[in-house]
Amino acid sequence: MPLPLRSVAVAAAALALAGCASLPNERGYAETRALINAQRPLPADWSPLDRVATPDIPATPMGVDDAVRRAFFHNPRIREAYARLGIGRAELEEARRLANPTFGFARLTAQSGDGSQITRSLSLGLTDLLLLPARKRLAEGELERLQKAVAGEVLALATEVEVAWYEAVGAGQIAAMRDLVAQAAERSAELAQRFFDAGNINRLQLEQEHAAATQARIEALAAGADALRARSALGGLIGLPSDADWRLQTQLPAPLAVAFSADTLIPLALETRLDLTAAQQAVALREDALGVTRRWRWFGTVEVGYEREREFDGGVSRGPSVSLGLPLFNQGQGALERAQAELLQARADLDAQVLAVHNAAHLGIERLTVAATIAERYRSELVPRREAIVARTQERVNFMLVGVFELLLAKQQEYDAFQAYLEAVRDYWTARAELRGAVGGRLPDDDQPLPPTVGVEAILPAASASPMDHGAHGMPSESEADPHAGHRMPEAPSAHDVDPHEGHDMPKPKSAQESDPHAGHGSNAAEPVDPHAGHRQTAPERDPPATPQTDESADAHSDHDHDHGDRP
Amino acid sequence: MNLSRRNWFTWAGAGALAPLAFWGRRALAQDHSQHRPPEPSDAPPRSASARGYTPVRTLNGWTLPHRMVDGVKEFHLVAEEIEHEFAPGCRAKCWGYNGTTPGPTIEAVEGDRVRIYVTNRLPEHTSVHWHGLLLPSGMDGVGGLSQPHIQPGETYVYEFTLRQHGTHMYHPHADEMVQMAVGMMGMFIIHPKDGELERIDRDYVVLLHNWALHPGTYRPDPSVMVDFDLWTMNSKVFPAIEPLVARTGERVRVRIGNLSMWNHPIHMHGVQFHITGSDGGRWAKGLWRPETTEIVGVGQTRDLEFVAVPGDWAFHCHMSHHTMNAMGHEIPNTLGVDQSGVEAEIRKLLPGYMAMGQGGMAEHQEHTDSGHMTGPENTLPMMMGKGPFGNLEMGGMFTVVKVRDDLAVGDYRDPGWYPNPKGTVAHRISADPDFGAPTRRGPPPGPPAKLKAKPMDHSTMKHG
Repeated sequence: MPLPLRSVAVAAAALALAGCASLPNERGYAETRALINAQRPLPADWSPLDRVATPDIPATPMGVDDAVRRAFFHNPRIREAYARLGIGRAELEEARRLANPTFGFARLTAQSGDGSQITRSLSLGLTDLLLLPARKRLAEGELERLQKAVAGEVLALATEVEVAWYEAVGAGQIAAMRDLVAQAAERSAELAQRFFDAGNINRLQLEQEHAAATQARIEALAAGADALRARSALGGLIGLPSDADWRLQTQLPAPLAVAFSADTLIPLALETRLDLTAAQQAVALREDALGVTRRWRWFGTVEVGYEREREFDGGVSRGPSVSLGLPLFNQGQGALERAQAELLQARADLDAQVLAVHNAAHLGIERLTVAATIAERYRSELVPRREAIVARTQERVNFMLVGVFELLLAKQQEYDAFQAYLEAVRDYWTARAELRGAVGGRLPDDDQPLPPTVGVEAILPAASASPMDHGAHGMPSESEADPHAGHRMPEAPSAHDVDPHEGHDMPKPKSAQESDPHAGHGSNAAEPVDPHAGHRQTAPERDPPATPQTDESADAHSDHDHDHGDRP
Repeated sequence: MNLSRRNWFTWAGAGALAPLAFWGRRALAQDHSQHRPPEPSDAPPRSASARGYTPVRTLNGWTLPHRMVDGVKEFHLVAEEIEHEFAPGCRAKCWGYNGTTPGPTIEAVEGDRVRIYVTNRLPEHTSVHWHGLLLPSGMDGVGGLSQPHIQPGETYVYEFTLRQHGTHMYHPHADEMVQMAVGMMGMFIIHPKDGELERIDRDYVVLLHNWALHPGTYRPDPSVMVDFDLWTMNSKVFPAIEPLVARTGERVRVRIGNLSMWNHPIHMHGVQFHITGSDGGRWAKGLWRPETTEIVGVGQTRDLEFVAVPGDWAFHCHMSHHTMNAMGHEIPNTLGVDQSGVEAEIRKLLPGYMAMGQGGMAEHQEHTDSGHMTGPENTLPMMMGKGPFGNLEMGGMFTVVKVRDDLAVGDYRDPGWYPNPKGTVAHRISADPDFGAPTRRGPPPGPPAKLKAKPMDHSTMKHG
């Protein structure tokens, strides 16, 4: 009976050949990359499995996209996720290959010493062969699910990095503002000491001033520690040691008005969120697996083979063999139950994720709207009012109606308001990053151009102020610093229409250098240069000689916005 | 009765002549170039002979015209809200009479029968009390006591015969705390029918008041009782108060009333004046007494008389804070405070800040006059005024008596600065503080005051 042997051999050879062709190298990786790239463009030279030995310390201040890019290159979690893709590939590789055929050889010698019996057999598990298509299908599905899950994790990491970046920038700004408040309080205390030394205030007033200054300095120190923590957290995500000399851009873009609703975001999220589609696929896979389990539950181990036996007498006998597992004791109940339970699990997981996406979209929009509203109220109302209060208080100091301590207190309150504004902007951007993550990586207005808003520079004191320095007051009214110039809403100069120093001719400058507060400004980007450089909206001719600082800030000059270049 | 104010008045008598605008601004001690006097003061002065008395001149103010109706002098006061200027740069919504605060001076002669209409154009009721006048109880003007209140829109008429002479006032006796705080007041001058004991060449009227016009605001605050912001003569502050002008040797009277909430020691330089009258009338000569400062108490009037001596002579309240404009009542005392170093640091945070007052406040006028130290809106610097030798550093109740040899009779124009005869002006003889050998005393015996702060000793402080 040569036929069965031949047909089995041919079938086995065909299967073996098919099975021997390996998976393409890029299978799984390329798909994952495409999935990520659809949501967030990836650098061309990105190969997540290669370990980049030592991350370079960036020379220029990092923007949020720079940070995400660095995370792609340097965060070990990406390699870990990609390694899981390799495991998925391996499982697919195994699933699409037949179990190897079994060759048997037995040589039996008679006790009489008279010759021997030799048996040769070749057998192949038939179950394996029959289950191969389903197994391969499931493994392919699983790899696909893995691709989505891994891509989703990478995108989630990007969100995490974005949030950490905004937190770090915000914490740095807060620390700077706390430092300013502390400086103001310390100046107040120093002045109080002078008043006390002159015999003009009592010890109680002096102690109160010193206590306030110490309190403010303690708060500044705590804010500095918070900033270091936030920087450290970001550094951990993007592979940078926190003590190395890297810097972040200091300005956050101005918040956009929230131009979408939950009704538009939720369908988008359900469609594009990769962990969600991965969970959907998990459900489909479990359903498929359950079906396969059901269909084959009665089917035990089946093995077909061919045997050739040479008898003692030299005669040869040959023929096919079959072995069949009888489903007497185990009819696949356990496997079925497991498959059912796993399906239930996958469905519950999907439901939980859909609900989470739904809620995250609602909550994210709410947070975004609130943060945008608060930031706008600060920008358009509270900060200008605090500035006006300082300007009006200065006038009262000028006319000896109130004292300098009140003025310094007003300035501290202005700093507080400005800090709260910066916090609101930061909250907007962290909320936005989280919402973007919640809806799968993109928001409808992501492509909108973002005018940069203000950083701490807008309110930082000028680098130097010489005695009788009134040179900076020729600017149009907006006083000390207009942190609003780059914002969307042009500010009517309502409350600020008095320039307290207009027309002042400087009495007796001590030297040419002192007489020009702008001398040397703009030439050294590392100095806290003229905070007003970009603010002059109505009198550009009064700008100091515009020495280019960096390309960035040179642009800022022409755009009249607030980009002050690269300071941490 | 249809009253037309245009036809009502005979524009015969407002005894004031406006300062002429062509006088150079810098040349004036008190800058009147932006001051717009009430129109009636443009009218020529009445002649003394026609009336039998020398008409008064109300500094910066005017005299209410009257008309004779059946032998009765009829006046018409209108109580109304007005916009008042304390000095250029400071205006406020006030209440007054016939467009001004103080209201126009009512001037009559002992024995006159007067009929005074009072129209109320205020948002609340009012009344007019004729302060110091002898009259029937029902004409005394105390709302609720002597008459019903004059409701908004109503016109009341007062009529009585003047049985006295002297320097008197009028003001509401209804919601006084508000109505006087916002400027309702005026002077009521009654000349003796028998003429003066001494012929009077110039007769000035000054009404003292105080205002809580808080810096940066535009309406006086009636709730203030002590800490006032502005101290005024005829509702003006220096340098907007007109000078008292006289020709050498002329007999000058200054009638001063006080409706403020503070007593004012009024001091005149250059002469010993006599107190010759009050709201008790013209005094018998035996009661006259020579003074150089006379306290004009709240609700009182005083008449000062003197023979003019050539020169520019200060005339002011002697409370030093009444000769300045608004200043903070509780500001930190900067006298002797060395802010060097700290000032530069503060300026980093507050570029507009400038340390002031270490050596005193005199520098303040330099800063405010030069314009680089702007104050709150509608607020006058506390020290103002430039004279021929420098800043006057004054405000509030301060003006100048200007006496010249060559003035025409009845010429009230500001004659400019006094040309001091050679050798009669104090002059510098040295710029060296060690000049001469003056006798000086040392500090009081005993340990000196502990001015310098000592660091706190924390070594004995218990922790926990």
